[in-house]
Amino acid sequence: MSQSARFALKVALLLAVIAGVFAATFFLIPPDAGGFFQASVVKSALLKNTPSPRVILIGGSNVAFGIDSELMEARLGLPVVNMGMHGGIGESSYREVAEYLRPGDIVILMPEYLVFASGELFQGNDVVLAQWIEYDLTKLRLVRPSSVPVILLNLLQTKANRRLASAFLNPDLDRGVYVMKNFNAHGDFIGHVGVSEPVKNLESGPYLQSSNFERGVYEFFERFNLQAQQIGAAVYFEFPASRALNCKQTGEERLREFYGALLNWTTIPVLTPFDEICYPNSYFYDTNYHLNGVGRQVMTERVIKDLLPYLP
Amino acid sequence: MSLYTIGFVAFLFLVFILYYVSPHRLRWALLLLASVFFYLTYSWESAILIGTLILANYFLGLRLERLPADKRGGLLWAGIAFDLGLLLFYKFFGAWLGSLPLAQGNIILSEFFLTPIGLSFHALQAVSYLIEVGRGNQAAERHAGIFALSILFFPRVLAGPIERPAVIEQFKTPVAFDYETVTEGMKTLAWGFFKKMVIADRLIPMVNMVYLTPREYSGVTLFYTVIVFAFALYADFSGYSDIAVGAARMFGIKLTQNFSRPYAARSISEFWQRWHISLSNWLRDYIFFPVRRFLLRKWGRRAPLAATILPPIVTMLASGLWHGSGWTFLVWGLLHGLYLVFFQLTEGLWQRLSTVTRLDRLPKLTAMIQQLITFILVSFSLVFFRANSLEDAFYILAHAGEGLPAYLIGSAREVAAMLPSLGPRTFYKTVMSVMSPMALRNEFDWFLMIAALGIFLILDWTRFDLSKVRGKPGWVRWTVYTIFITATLLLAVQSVLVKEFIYFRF
Repeated sequence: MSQSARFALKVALLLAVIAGVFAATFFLIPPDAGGFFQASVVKSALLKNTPSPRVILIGGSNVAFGIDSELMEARLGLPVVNMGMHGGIGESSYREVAEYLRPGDIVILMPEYLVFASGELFQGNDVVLAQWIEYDLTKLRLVRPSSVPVILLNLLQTKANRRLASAFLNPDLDRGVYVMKNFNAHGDFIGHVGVSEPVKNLESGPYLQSSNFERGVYEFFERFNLQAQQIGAAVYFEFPASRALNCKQTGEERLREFYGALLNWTTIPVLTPFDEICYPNSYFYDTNYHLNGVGRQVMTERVIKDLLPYLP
Repeated sequence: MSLYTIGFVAFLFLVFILYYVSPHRLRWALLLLASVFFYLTYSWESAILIGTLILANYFLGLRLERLPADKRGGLLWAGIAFDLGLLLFYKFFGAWLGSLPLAQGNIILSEFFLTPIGLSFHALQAVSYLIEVGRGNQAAERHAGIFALSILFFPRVLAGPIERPAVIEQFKTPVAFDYETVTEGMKTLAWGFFKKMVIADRLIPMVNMVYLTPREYSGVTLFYTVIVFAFALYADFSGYSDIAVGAARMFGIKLTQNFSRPYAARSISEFWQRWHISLSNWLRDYIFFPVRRFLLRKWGRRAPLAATILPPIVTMLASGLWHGSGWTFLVWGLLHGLYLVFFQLTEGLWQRLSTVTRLDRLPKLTAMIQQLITFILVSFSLVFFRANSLEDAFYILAHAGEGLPAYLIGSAREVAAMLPSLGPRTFYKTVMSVMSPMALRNEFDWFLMIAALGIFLILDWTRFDLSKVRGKPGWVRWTVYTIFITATLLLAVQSVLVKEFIYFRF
């Protein structure tokens, strides 16, 4: 056998052995029972099964933490589905919603500000996407094809690390409040409701930089809107809250620029007046996008107030 | 296209296959095309600037060779001034020009003022080429494509090694597929990926967090960060170098080994023979020796001290300047210059001390003490290398270690209490009891990093590399390769916090 043939055979054999080890890792380590992202299975079921017309809220974890769907249902008289999960899922979560839109549906887009600053961020974080698809591999249809190999590799890493952590740490893996059981039947995260004091060491960033506005992200939402309209659904922008500390220190000017740019570019109605974007620091839980129980109440009331004029 | 992604590996193997199925006369073109494509995935603006550098040096080399030896000086200095001038322009003015309002509103203009990727390395390689042609040690390369390839060759285009002109011949030499050479390259490549993806990528975000706001952290955390950065930088840059050297080897091209267990050095002088070897050798040959020769000629016996003191200081200041235009890099360079001078001048004193204390009878202990002192000196200087300002550097040095003795005593007590109940969780708690001040984000990630770092240090210290399993039974080799590659892929950090290699910014 020639050297090159011998080389090719050994490389193929090595890859096959490694693939075998990966397959064993994949199948022998089950999905994280009770983990935060298991809630995505519940949300997907809600999206498929909740009768229309309905209100669907979508964004990142800002939506999961910041909306009281029961209150909205009571006030609006429509079923509410909270699809907010994690900003790192990016555009894939909007694609999932687009698949299940029906006539009469109302979609409230509440993306975290940072996604507008980076197309790369909006494509999704591979680590987060790996955790998102772990419970339902068919969700791979929603991600960019070029990201699939990396996401699968990340999924293997997640499983391996989790197994190691379970052995060295403890079976509960010190998740804190970020567990499946802290989501209610509407997909709202409620683990922080009743906690009035913000968590210490709250992050002070990230800040929106106007020079980084990513046109591609806006165009994605325009296409989403067009597709929704063709189905007979309505789409609105509602802005997430921004912490007063951010607004005052460096964010307010940037937020005004962003808000102005969005109003110029988008055909999607924007519900939020600018002066309702900045919330007191005391309304926040542990990050700049996660409202606490009090902030959640205020935000939900605002969304209801902003949406009511547009309801038939 | 990042160097440590699936995309790069796929690209590398595609070029590898095409290379060995292509006839030799076309291989330079294939590699050049692949290298240009690879570079363009980073920045076409940088490609234009590097292209200008390549063309200028190609024609300068040819012109230099045609001139009589005694008439080459002017053109040679003009060429050196062009290459170094380009480098200094970007080091000192590029960032400032890019921040001007005119550039800020224009993406293309602002991109042109960013330092072209790899310029620091290419400029020095080009200077070396001109000098050797000027001296008559190297024939000017007539084949423009091969000359361009010697600079743009994709495994080394981003951050070296800084090659000498002799590397050009390798691109002309016919290469037949050789199983041993190719697999040797792949093993080096795999080791590089391990160092970068498993070690460096875990350490760097932690280090960056502390250096960003050092005043928010305790003395114990600062102390650990100083030590950890020394290993982070080593794993990062040597990881990149191994990827570059390993990938090149797969094409039969032998690049300079850039690292040789630098933290085993017993003196600062030896450290610089083991760390970033291609840069150290360049500085030695083109700054240190010429400055020393000049001083000896000029002052001779009148001022022998000047010929001892000035060359290392000038050389290391140049090294600092090469790394960056900030004061921190100059201080870092100056420190190393002073280290070299100090130990040169006190060499006899240390030998007498060793004799008096009888340490000369304990060579292993002496070696350990020397290695520890060298590591401490290097780590100390790296604070300036990494800090965002001199103020931050001084703050870190002033407060690093505050509270450490009490902390370690407390940890020792906790560990002693846990020892009777050994197991994975006890091991974890034991490690974290000592290292928890650095668990700034995810504590378990930090634990994995310590474990991986520990394994890396043992392997590095024992001079392990994957070629050492050659000759072992087949099942041993296959087990080692499988475990190594699988562990690297499963433990690699896919993090948005770590975008590229540290040395790409130079």
